[in-house]
Amino acid sequence: MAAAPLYALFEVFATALGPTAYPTTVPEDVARPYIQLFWAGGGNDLVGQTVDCASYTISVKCVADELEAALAGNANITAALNNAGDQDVNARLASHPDWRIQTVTEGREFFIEEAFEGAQQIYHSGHQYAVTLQRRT
Amino acid sequence: MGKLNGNNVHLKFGSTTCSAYWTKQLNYHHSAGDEDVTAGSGVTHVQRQTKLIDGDMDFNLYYDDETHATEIADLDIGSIDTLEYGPEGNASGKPAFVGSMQLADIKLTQGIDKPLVAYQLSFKQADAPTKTLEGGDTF
Repeated sequence: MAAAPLYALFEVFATALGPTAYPTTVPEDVARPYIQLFWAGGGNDLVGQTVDCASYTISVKCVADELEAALAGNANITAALNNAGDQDVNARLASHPDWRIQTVTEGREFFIEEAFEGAQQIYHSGHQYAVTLQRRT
Repeated sequence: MGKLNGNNVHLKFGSTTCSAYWTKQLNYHHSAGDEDVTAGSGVTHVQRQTKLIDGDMDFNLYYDDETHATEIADLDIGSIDTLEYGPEGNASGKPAFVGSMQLADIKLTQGIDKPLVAYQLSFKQADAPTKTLEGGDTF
């Protein structure tokens, strides 16, 4: 059975971002800095009669104890993902057997400063990425 | 009775079947020219007669980066060939339009913000159609 497009997307993005990247939930004992990616919108995309397509907005952020590390982590995310689809100007994502990730476009930036557990300041820095996918035939 | 909401169209121009690439929207349009023949003393209403009947169609095909050459094989600007259109596919007995049409206009749009790249094809009647939807013709 073919992978769901969102699952394929998480697999490929996590591979591109390295071992500190976690789709959806981050385990409790993970040390910062780490990368979290999660669904922010989208789903199936009706393009043609016989072709399965999807488009998603995925939020990807680096969470770190220091501002500098969070921003540097965000820059590394950009370097790994922006314009990395197989139709993009700098294609570099791993190929998935079920879905082509055609375009990855960096969009809105977000930044959060959080008083973690009421005391320690931690920083979240990332972007939302617009992603288009097509099922391989 | 059943209303049609489907997108299971059949589209073919010359030897190229376009159905699988069709996207967004399709427009089928036939119109009759009219001549004002109003005459007579004391006439109170305009009188018209039908002149020539004309037809045009336009539809969009998404640009396929794997089968582009196949997709546009017969779609040369200015070419005149048979256009087939079936709103419910081309199974025997389903409504059909079949007519000689000129591919009069091709437009391709691409944007910096990566929208779906699609051809916009416009066809004009080149001869009397052999089958029309409004004539009740079928495949």
